[in-house]
Amino acid sequence: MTPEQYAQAVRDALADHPEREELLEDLDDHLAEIAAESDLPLENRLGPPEAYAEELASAYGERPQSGGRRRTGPRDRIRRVYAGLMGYGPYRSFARFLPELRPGWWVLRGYVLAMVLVAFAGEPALVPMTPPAWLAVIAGIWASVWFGRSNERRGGRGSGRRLLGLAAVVVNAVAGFALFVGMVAAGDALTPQPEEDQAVWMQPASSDGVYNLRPYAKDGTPLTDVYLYDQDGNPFVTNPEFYGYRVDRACGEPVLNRYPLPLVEDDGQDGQVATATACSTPAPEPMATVRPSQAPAQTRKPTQSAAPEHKD
Amino acid sequence: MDSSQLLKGVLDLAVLAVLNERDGYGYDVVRRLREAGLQEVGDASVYGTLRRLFKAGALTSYVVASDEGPHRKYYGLNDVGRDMYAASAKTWASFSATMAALLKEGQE
Repeated sequence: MTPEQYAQAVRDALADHPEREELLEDLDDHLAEIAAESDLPLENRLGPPEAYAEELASAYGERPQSGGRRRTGPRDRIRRVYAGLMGYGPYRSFARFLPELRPGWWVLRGYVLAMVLVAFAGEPALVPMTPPAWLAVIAGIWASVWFGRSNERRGGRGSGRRLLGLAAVVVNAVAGFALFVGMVAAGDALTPQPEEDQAVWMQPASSDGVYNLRPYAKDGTPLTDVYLYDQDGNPFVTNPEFYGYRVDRACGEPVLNRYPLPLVEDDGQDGQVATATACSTPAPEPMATVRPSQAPAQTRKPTQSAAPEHKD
Repeated sequence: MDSSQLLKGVLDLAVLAVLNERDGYGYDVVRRLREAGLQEVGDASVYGTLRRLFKAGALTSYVVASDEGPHRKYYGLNDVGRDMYAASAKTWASFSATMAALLKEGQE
């Protein structure tokens, strides 16, 4: 322990001494004097700071000594744990760094609490969306920083101080909890939800989505009636309705994972009349020129604008 | 008998005596008490005693800048302190004489 840490530990141990400041007025200089005389750590020469504090208070004569034993309430225990932690190097540097984070926490706290109020006012969101919400956030940050600064500036003791400290604890706890809830909500929003019973969504090379597939053989021959399944063995089904097409049901219920799909442009009519002749083929060919059996497909020219077009 | 128990009763007088000799800062007083033979005097006890005597108005204090170390707060007796010292010394002298006589009787 450096003389400063030792002095701090003594101060902490005498936190409830009524005349602590008077008693410890020049403790720092005194300890520095002792430390300057020898390289031995202060704890080795003076004993633990708590015992030193006890002896000091006893010589000063203010504290009533109840049988020589100090009461060991929770406060004393916390103080002792704190003193123990402060004797531990990494914790000390961490504890010294913490105050630097305080202003940042004030800003965050103000923001979070303002957003909690905005949420209660009926606009739950993680960021302010409306001018009143922005105003609330600015006011919240300002109030939080002001509260933090005035709390820091006010020294001394007393019931007012204690009340302020309690208020700070409550405010910090509420802000911390709201921050946690907000982060969980944000995490949920970022996690993609698995879409149940959804058709396959693919990232296509073109800007349009994929709603039909045209398989080809190795030699370039277009294939028909190709059944596709995904990695789990489930039928591979697209979602043509989303793109303004529907599966042509003129020749009965088609198999939805048999490609290419017989698709018609969804214009509200059903294409039964126009496609009635096409039903001899199990599925329409993607290319009109490949096989002679394609005759029915060729009969349906785009010039028949009234009839739904066969889209494959 | 534990001499530290005895010391508690006369530490005020011991500190007053050291300061009556010449002014001193906290640790200087501790050192002089130890040099005088009061080995087991506790640093915290001396410091607490100094602060109490100061509060009681028996001591003056002044800060002296030091070249090689921290500033030192010197304590010295004022009139109240000197009166206190004189009265305590007298009490102690008579008390110790009584004790010495008592012990002498016991030894004979």
